[in-house]
Amino acid sequence: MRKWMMVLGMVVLAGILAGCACKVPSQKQITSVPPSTGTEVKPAAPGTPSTPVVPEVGRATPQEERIAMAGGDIPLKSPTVPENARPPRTEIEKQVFQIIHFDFDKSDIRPDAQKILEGVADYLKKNPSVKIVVEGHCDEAGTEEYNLALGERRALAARRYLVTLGIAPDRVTTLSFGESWPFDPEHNEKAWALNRRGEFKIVE
Amino acid sequence: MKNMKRAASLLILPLFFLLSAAGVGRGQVSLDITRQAPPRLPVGLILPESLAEFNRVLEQDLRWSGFFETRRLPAGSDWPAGLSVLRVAAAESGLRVMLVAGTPPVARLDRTYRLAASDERALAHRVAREVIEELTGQSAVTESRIAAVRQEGKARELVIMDYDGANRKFLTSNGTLNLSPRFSPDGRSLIYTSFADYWPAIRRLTLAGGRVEKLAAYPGLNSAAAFSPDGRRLVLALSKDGNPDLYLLDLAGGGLKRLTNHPANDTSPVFFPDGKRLAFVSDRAGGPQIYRLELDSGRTERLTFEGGYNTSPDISPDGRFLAYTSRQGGQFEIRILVLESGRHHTVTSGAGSKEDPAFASNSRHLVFVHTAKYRSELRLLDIFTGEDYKITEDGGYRTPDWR
Repeated sequence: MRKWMMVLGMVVLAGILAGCACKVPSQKQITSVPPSTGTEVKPAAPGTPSTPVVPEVGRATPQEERIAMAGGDIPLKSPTVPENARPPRTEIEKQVFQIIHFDFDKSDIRPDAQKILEGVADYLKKNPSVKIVVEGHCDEAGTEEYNLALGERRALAARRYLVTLGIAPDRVTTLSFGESWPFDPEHNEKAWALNRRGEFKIVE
Repeated sequence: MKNMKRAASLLILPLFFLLSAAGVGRGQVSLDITRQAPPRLPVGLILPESLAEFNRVLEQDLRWSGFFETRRLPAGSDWPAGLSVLRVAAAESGLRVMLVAGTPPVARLDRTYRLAASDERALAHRVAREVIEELTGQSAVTESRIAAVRQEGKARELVIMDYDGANRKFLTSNGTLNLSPRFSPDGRSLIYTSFADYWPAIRRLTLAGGRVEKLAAYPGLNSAAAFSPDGRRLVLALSKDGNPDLYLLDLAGGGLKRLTNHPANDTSPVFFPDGKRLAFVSDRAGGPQIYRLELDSGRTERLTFEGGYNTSPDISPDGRFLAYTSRQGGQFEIRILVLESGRHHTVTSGAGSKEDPAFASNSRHLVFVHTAKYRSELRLLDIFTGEDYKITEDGGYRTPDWR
């Protein structure tokens, strides 16, 4: 029996030294098939949500501001010409549409972000034809689906804050990429703080 | 007799080697889950030497089922009394498979299979399924598949593979984000969140033929979609009304019904097998926790209280277990709530984070993501024995589903 155990021990040791003996598919075996370029069918029912009446001047109504101040929900509208959303390009755009940051697992607008959002609101008031997308992002901690929702809440919080500053809700749309597209791919506190963010895209 | 015992021991050694190499995340399984696993039944295997791949896959399938302790027997050996023996031999028209079990021994299976040249794996999975089902009366998962997300540079694409990680194929290659695949109840299609249009949308991909259709593309978030057990409805997280909440989408009529209306994040819904209740994640108590929602009454009940971060619930098809991801210290572990007893058990341990469990149809195995040193691999876990098996080697996997 003892002999048996010794043999066993040696084999286990050999196993550890040799690494995993299991045969698994290697890259070479992967057959990449053409993607699903099948027929695109129109959405079953992407019904237009019931949105509050948007005033023509592109300013938030007092009611919308009240909802936003109270932290209430302001429905989203289907974005117009989404393909045109682009990052800030000009010097002035880059200065206005700076990245805002969030605390861990939070979507509250921090004082540093408030300042940036005030600049964004000023810019939008001076440029009434501009619409924006707020893209919410998360750090890598946590599970994918939860982070997707958290990123959306961050973007929605920024949108709500802009509405309290008098921006009409239909000029701000939200989008979340969750943890998928980090700003800094490193795995440390500094990178995570940079990755918990909201970025602005411009739709003209 | 002594000699034979020794011979048998030596034959078991390679298996032991495989197991020891596989068991990184061996869990300390709580008693009332382990008690469900009867001792492994010894099965002697007499296999054709010429079919190395077939033999390896068959042997692994039988072991991974959790029911058997396999040992190879020499080709000419007598069939020892009391031992179930599976003999596979080349026959004129293919492979003849004979299974003899019981005292006195009775032939339980005797079939001849045609073997296409490149089909050793598929045939091994089929024979394994028939042997498992014949000897245990339980459904086997050896012919099932796993879908997952794989990171490809900045993109995340959908992949599908055999349950043991072999035959991996890419299902998308659009260079954007394709997230959270879930099989339809019939296993013929997958739904997932696609960012191919820049805005997220729920798409359905029919596996045979590759047809893609959009099922939901509302303003804002469209994510975390899961089928009802009858396949007729989707539950999903939308933010169109200004906050991530849960909605029920009727696939036939297209009607949409709001299920939650709460200022917190609600996401990751999944149906109970009765189709009348959901488990989902909400951070309404601060951090994310798992809740149960009764669809008829709207009654909501919190299910997890330990720890500040509990997410990604999945419910076993037999309705007995709810598996979820739980932060414990600096890493994540898989926990299981036994719904009948209300007790929670941590079923993984060891280095690295374990996340995103998804049950197989047998309600005994689950697939999860094991991340160590920023490499994310898929592993299978037998929740009754705590044994786990790595099925990928190249990293970058997330959010698996198993059907």
